[in-house]
Amino acid sequence: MKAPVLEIKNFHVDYGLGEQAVQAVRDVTLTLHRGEVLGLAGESGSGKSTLAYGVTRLLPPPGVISGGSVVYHPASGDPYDVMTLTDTELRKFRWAETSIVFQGAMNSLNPVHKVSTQMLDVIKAHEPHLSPQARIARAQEMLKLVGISADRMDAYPHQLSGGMRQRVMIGMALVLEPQVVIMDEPTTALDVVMQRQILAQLVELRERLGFSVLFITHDLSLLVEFSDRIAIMYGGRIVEEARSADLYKDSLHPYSEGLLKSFPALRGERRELAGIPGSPPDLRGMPSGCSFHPRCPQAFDRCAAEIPLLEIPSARNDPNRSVACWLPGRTA
Amino acid sequence: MKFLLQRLAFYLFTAWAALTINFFIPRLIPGDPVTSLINKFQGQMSTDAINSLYVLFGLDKNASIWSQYVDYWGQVFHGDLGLSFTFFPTPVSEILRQSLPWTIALVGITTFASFMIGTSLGVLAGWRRGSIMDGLLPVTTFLSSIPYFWLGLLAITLLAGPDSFFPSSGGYEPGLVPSWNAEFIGSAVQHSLLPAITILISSVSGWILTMRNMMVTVASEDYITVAHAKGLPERRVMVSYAARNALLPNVSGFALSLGFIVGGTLLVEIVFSYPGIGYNLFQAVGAKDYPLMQGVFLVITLSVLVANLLADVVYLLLDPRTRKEG
Repeated sequence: MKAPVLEIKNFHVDYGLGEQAVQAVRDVTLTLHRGEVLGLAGESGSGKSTLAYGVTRLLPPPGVISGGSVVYHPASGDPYDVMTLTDTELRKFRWAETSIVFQGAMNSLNPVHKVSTQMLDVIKAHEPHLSPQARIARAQEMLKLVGISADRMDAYPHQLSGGMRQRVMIGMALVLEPQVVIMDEPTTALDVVMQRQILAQLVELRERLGFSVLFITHDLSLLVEFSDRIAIMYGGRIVEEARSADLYKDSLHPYSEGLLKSFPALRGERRELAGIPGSPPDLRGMPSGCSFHPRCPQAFDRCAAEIPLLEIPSARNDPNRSVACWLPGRTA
Repeated sequence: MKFLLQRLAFYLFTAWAALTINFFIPRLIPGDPVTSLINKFQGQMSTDAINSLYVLFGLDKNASIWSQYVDYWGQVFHGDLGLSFTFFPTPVSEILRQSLPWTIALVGITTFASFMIGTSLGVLAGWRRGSIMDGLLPVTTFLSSIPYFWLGLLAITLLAGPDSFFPSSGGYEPGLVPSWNAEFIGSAVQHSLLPAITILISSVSGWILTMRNMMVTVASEDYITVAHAKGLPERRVMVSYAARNALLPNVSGFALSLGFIVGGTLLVEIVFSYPGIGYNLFQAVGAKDYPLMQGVFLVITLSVLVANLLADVVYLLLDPRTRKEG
């Protein structure tokens, strides 16, 4: 087992305060290890992006982190809780330790500033001692790594294509060589060819630079191929966590199974394509017990009564996987 | 560059059209300036004098409309805008030359100050939404909803008077001769304070409101979140990411308001009897002084056009998306 780099523990995020509060993320515990790609998958509204914003304390109001801790292990020095950092410490932590690539490649760059301005100001903010020439050299080098030629430094965002903009964003996310890169549906706005190119490049960059990735997407097929471990989120909770191959071949939670059945396999024997009946739960009125039970084909009495905990399933006896389900053999 | 030349050509065309309309309007309205001038002198004029007046005003009945038009353009290019009736025989261009600096100094400075103050307050109000700054909005909006002449009259009644520091009318102490010395400038500043403050009060809220609303809109853009995520200092995110982008509509609004500096101050100058171009227009209308009106309209038209051109150029500089590549 590799050393952890980011440990999310009992994390809760609410939207709103008091009685009216909607619990978007509930009791999430998730560990990102050094150098791995951890995939986080789920339907729209499952809380995966909220989790990403919460972990970096970027939640826009009325989002409130109502509990939990996020322990970060720096390359050297003692681990610390991101939730207790002061504003100044938080600013230093952001981007230098954990950077983010956002969903909207189109809107992530400020349209009135050149690419160079936006790359250089982040270097300047975090490494003020660096000379201007060194900053420019660093930015150019990073752009080259993501396949953008140096002369595009002086371009404005509207002069770049969608794929190029997302490459620039990835380059920008790596420019300070952070240990953790959170990617929130980074390729959703791009066509499949561009998606593939960018992901292939990301894998290559990760091998070279050794950062860890928390990859958030609703596209499970993408994760199966490209991540080391996958966590499945439903209704604000993690319902299953396993190595990608294990999850693909032998998923334990009926929801993961449903997700896997909803896209075709390219190789192997044919299997029936089936969706998940019903629609994602309303966060304001969550079902009792396991929040998936109204849609679950295998639900029984206990599912509606008690909330299952994320535990190592007795049927597999594998410490690397866990599932939150009442079905036989899935509890500890 | 090509874009700029296109705009320039467009503005030249507009200027031509405006000047042509300016030429035709006095010729289309019933009666003519000379008749009204004759009426003013109540028949104490000989036929020769009347004819020479017609020639003087470019209304020579023997000349064709085309040759009048050509003459008119020649005169405009020489800055010859005819003679004023009210201040007969002072040339209109001389009157405008005297009054224009007053208007530009008073309204120009206050418009600029109002824009700067309003925009800065708007940036803060939009960025710290829900803070005390938001409480400022209803107050300024209330002040700006007061009709300007009422605000001006109120200011004169309450603040000006024989013993007050604020003079109630005029541009400078009546006994002084306009020149660049401390005494005159001091007096001019003292006279301009009250009009300036009232203009500021009535116009600043517009800037605050639009800037605040744009800031609120821009603050929810993805690139603001990215800027925060980048760990940039709060000030840099506010100024260089949020305000920089929110400013764009306000800047074009500002450039347009520059165009109305000359024309839009009629009320200010009437209420405070300020010796600017708006007061000229007021006098000209009262006295049916066609050449002076024409001259004032010409100045207003040209300044609006110049301001528009300026807005285009500034926008080009501020927003790279409007720049077309060759």
